Amino acid sequence: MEVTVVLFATLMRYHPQGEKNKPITMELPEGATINDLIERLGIGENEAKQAFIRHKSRPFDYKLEEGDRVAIFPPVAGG
Amino acid sequence: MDGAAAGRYGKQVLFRPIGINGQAKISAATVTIIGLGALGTVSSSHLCRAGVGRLKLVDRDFVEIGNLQRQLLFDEEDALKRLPKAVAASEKLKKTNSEIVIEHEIADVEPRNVEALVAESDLVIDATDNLETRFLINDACLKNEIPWIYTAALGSTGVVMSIVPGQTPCLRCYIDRLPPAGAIASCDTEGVLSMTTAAAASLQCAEALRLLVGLKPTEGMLYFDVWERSFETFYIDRKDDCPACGLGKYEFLDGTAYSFTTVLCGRNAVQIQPPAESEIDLELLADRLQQAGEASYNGFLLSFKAEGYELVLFPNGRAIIRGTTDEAEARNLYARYIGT
Repeated sequence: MEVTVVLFATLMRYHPQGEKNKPITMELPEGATINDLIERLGIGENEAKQAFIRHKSRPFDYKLEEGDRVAIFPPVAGG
Repeated sequence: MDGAAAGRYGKQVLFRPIGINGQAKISAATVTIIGLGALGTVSSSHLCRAGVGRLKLVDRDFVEIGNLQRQLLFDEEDALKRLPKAVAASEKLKKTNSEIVIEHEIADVEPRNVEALVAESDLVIDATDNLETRFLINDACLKNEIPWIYTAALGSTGVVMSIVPGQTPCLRCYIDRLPPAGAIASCDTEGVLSMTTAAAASLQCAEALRLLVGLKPTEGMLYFDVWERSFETFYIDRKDDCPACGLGKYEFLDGTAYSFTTVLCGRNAVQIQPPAESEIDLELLADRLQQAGEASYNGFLLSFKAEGYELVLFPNGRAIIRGTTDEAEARNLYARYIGT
């Protein structure tokens, strides 16, 4: 299945093509979860804190569906 | 045009969601602003000009030249005098609006003082630069049923989220636990634009006025990027098993999850807070430290330079050690020069 991923704030550095804000199109096996996707992108365990699908928060064990748009966030702590 | 609409707050009163009634609520409100850096200098200026009746300003730090790029209330004289930010901000704001009450507190926000600092507040403004203090504010505000507005900024990106106890998710519904030291990016590595922090603080204060006039908070977490010019809102659910708002366990407030050493964002510095508060005669200590390096006292704090480091010490024993981000090294310098 094909999903689209957008990385936010400091996670942009994990963009495989280095294009930061550009959505990433990924091909994943059926039944893949948000965790699988985070691992595939090489994002550290403590760096991703929230994932949203169509702007709504989802747990990392959420099973992705064809065409999902996933937004992944780190904790933002500066000021 | 009646009196209120022609006066100091005229343009704000003409804005219909506020009006004369809303302005009366703003004037009767007490707001505590925690942190007077890039976010807090802008937020305190907005809320002072908006006529919040009583502003309580809290900050642990002093002004330096490197702050001026983004901390919009301060100037070179403040940095040369190394004024505590709470003092410098309070002086500026009192000149801006003499009709409101402005109080300041030079203090680090910790488990033992946070409830006293937010007491009597209708709203708490988060203008801090680290997650640990935010978790502490989250605990104190949930426990005391005070709304607060989480606001953070890094690089060109920022987030703003209202947290109203009993109504909205809390910070720990969003970020369940403190990431290990060094796991997340800081202003040290990513930098931050003044446009990011000023935009974040402005969005925070619009939300503040909404809450103060009695409107519902806007929903979700706003994310923006000033460089890419994007704004998006994301929705988080309240978690029944959230330790803070779900289970009522205030792990940061009761001190079980709180540390007393903090690497300061963007500063190449570590703060040390001794577990037991003390009252140090800084003038006397400055004399003693003259033997070991360059020591001076400006009436508020002691500055001591040696070995390429600078130790800045406050009367209650709290110190900021500049020239390192290594917590163990900072503790060692503290023990050697200040004592434990």
